Amino acid sequence: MRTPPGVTASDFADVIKQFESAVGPEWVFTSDDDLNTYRDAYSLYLGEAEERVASAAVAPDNVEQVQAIVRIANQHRIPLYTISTGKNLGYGGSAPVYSGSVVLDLKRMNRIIEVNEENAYALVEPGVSYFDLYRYIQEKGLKLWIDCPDPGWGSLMGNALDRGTGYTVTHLRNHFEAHCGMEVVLASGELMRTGMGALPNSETWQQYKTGFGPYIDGMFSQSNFGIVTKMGFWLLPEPIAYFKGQILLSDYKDLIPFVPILNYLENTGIYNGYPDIASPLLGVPQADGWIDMIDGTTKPPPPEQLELLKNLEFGYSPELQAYGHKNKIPYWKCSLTFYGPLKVIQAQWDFAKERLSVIPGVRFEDAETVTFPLTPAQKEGVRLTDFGVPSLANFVMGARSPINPDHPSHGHVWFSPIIPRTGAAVYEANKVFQTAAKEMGVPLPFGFIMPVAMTERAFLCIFAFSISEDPAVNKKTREIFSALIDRCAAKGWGEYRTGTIFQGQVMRGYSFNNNALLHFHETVKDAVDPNGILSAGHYGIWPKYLREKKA
Amino acid sequence: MRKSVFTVLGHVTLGTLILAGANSALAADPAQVARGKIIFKDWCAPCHGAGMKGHAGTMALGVKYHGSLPAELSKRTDLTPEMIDFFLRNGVSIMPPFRPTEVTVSDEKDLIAYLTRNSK
Amino acid sequence: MRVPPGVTASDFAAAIKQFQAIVGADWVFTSDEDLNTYRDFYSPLRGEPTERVASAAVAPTTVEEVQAILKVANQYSIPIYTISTGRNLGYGGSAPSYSGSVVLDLKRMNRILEVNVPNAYVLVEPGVSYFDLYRYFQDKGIKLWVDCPDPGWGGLIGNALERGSGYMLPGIRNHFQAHCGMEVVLANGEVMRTGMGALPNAKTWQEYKTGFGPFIDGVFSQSNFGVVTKMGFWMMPEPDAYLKGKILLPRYKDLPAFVEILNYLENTRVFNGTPDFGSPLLVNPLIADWPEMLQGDGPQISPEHLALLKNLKLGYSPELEEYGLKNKIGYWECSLTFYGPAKAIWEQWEYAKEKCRAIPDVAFEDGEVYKTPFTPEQIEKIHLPEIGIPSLQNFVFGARSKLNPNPTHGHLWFAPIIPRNGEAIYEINKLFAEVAEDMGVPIQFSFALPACYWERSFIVINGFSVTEDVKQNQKTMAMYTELVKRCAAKGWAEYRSTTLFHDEIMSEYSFNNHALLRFHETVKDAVDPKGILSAGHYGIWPKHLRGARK
Repeated sequence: MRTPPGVTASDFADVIKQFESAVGPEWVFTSDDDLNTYRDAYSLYLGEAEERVASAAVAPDNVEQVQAIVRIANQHRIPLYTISTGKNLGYGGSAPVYSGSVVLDLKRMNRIIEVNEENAYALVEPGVSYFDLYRYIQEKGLKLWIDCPDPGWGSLMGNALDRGTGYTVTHLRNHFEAHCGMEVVLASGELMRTGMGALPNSETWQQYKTGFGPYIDGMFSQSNFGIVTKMGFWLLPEPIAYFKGQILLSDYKDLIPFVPILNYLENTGIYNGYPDIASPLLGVPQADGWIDMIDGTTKPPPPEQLELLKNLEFGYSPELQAYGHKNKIPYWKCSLTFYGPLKVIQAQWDFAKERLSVIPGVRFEDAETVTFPLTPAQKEGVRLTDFGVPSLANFVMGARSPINPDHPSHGHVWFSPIIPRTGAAVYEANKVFQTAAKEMGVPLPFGFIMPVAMTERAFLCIFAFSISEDPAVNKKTREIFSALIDRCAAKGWGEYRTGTIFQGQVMRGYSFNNNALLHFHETVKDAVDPNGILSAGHYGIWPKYLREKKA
Repeated sequence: MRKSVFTVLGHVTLGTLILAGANSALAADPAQVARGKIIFKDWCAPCHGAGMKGHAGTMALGVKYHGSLPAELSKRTDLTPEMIDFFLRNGVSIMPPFRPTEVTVSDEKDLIAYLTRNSK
Repeated sequence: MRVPPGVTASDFAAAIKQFQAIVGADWVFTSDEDLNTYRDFYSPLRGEPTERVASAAVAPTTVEEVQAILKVANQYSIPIYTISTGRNLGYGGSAPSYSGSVVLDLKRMNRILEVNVPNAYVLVEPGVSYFDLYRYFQDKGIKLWVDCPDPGWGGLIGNALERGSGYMLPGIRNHFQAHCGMEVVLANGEVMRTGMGALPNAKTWQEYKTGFGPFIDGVFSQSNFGVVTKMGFWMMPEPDAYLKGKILLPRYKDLPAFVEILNYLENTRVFNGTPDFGSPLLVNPLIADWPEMLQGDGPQISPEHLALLKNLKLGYSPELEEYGLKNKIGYWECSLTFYGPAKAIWEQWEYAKEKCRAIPDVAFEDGEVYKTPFTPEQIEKIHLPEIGIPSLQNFVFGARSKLNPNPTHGHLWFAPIIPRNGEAIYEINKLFAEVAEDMGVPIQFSFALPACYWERSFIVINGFSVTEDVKQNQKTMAMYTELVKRCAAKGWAEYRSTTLFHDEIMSEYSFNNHALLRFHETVKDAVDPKGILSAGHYGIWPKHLRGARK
């Protein structure tokens, strides 16, 4: 049997027995076979000594069992690592940050406690996936949509706590912000409810977020200060209609005037969906174009264009632009999506076009109008996550495919810095990425990294590095990843989230005033989890005894 | 604690397992197959559903076998309990392993019953 | 000279000297005359021995001065009470929660540090008021609107930290949620920046809220864990047009069906301003119509109507409803406001009306679409905070007026959050009526209507007048206490309150033997071990004073 670092085999055997009596022996996992399923399937240390692995896993079915486990862990100073559905692929999966921790697997806590249709909210446990909630809503015939991220098997709670995003309306895409009310098991084993939930028999736990006194929910996101066992989420009542319009821009430099107009339209709520920026000329598709590209439905660009793509400086050459002009292939393409009554969204789109027409050469296309509910045939044709339907369609990326028949990847890690919402920042970020890639001899996945407008007001650049079976390749990937973190930090850009192996480095980059923020987190950590049993190292926050060890 | 599926099936005796692989008619309890179909729908179909479009698993297997085997897992007749267990618990390429808290030991048995229902 | 409790006169004198050395002698206040201006002007305990007062006030002008002050406070264990503009009237004003604290007055830190027009944000210091920022926008011709609460002299930071709200788009009128990035001086005097601000030379401090790792900004709202010295806020770019339409519901029982429609329209963003409830039949105006009603001769009501108002049960009688139906006076009215392209908002209003037609005999008053820039005549007709113009219009409430010849001495806000459904509105009115009868204190309105400042829930805000009569004020406080308790028994509680009631209200948030408050106390002890910051604020006391808590 494996043991966590610093714990003797006999102590651990005793602890395992106690866990078994808390949750039942069938829900404590110690065999290599079982623990294999807790590995990070997308680890950049795949199969290497540094790969972070669990010493055991324990899967409670209810809050009382979580409390019991935490009390046992506290008594014996056992490091726990909490996962909800454990599907945090590309960001660390289900493996602990601190190798040898016992994974506290909350997947079995999968109750949908309440769904309120009139007030459009749900209260769920950590094991509830987007698929689970969607099935429930369908079975009951409720007219509610869930804002989903790409992987539909993920947990609503896990995704929100890692501060993930989705694709429908602006005000619900930010999954952490769309939550309302939490229940947390503290390191002491005590149960706490936040917001209005602190009021016994509260009638508004899922209706008013901040309660009375300090609003502490954010502390439990991207952290290790407690184990969140329930969360409320605001859902979207099914809108009347959906419309997608395309904006086509002809010149490389058009992002400069375009982005401020986009910001105006978004910040005044003129479109309320997710704007999707792509480059037809550079061969970078929109979110709904990936699948067609990967399965070969989309034809590759003609040879002339492919040739031109080989000699670009940060995605640009005058020749490529001239080619685009001649063949009416836009440099950039951005879709705007609208949810609402048809006449309203038509007027909104008209207004958007009017505003955008100041950009020379801009063109528009009415792309898609959909009314609800979706028919089964529509469900085959549309990009499901735009309509609150969970899916795994985006996993075609990296899989064996018509365009990649021989070298399917072993997963990926996401590099995801936040950059300013300006056109200039988009060019500058590409310069940073491409310069680093060139200097380090590692190819980037695309000739140009498009900005993603997942959250309001900022751009996110997000791209993946593939995991290889070859440790030498993975080593190189780790090096460029690490270099990109530093180079972005030097520019004043930081990641919003990262794979567990880079969390320490990213957090150290958030270093204003001698790491004042991290020191604050550590002060809180030591106070609320004095034995340091919860998810040591998660997001760079280590308990005191391990900080001392590292120092 | 979870035992490997082989051990679990081993209670029935290894002979039965071989028989089960050899003649699904003997092992296929219709209720179990029906349960397995739901497990497949919930856990596998998002990637291994019908059609290449947007189904990473079906696409990958389609490309791998070039039609020599059905791209859709649920149409395969060559699957064995060992294969299913291996891929379920180890993953392959971008498919991660599934933990016993996701697809439980008994879910796995049902899933195997479903996916081997037509095995020859 | 006054002295804070538990501090010796000589220590305090030494601390005052150091404060003077830090900020200059002019900016340390110890005379009764000066300290009088730091009293809670709306305190029901005004002049009583229990009134909470400051022992001194110190007004820094830079972050470095704040740091230095906190170091001195730590050295001598001086209790500090932080205010930004101190205009938190009805919720405690500028007086400390813990009587005898030294007020740390940040009003002089009033720099507007950055205004970014294309990305529609500002970065400000605590002393910047809505008026200040509005003037800045006007002076520079900046087409950004600042979402204002009713009192325009308040600080953006103070209002956000107290979790106040305004009137425009849902994501912006929740002032705490509309902030992006903080700078905090911790109790030990260290400066910390949150979100992307923790990144040296951050380029997106005001563009991305949550940074990396725990999102801790919320712990500095309604609390005493640090002194916030900078905050970013998201502004609203000037929209193309504004529209307000009114929906008139004829029957007392129309609220449940209506609220359901209202929720759908808001949750799908068919309207994007703040809905405003009134009752023409009960002569209970919309929030937006208060100034007009109080400034003029008051509403014109027929004697028959007036007579009918005298015999109501929870705002209802069949006769009154009949009278309303006959004379086409709505039992309820609700205005919806829209910001956006002129054609789009008209269609939004059309759609809202279509949905509301499910309610029998519903009527509408179409507003006019006003295109920006507005004419002075148009502005005259709009409740100013709805278009990003700070004002003090709503202070007519309580002032001497034709309708109210006996002005009050201020008010206390009682503001519970209730569920967003029609039944809850009747239910809370029933509770108010019962408590009023039991306690013999009249409530503000015959029927309290909900406000929709926050998405998804209702808030019911009642103002209790503060008078010169001590006994009357005591009765009001007893009533307040009773309301806190009875609401809590229903599962409802306040979002904010005057400092006098912080302990009572926090103690109702008691799930699992006050687990939440005990968590706050654990954090408090860790981040402010000497307990110098705003002791007692929102019911959080430092360890050495906690014994006093029941």
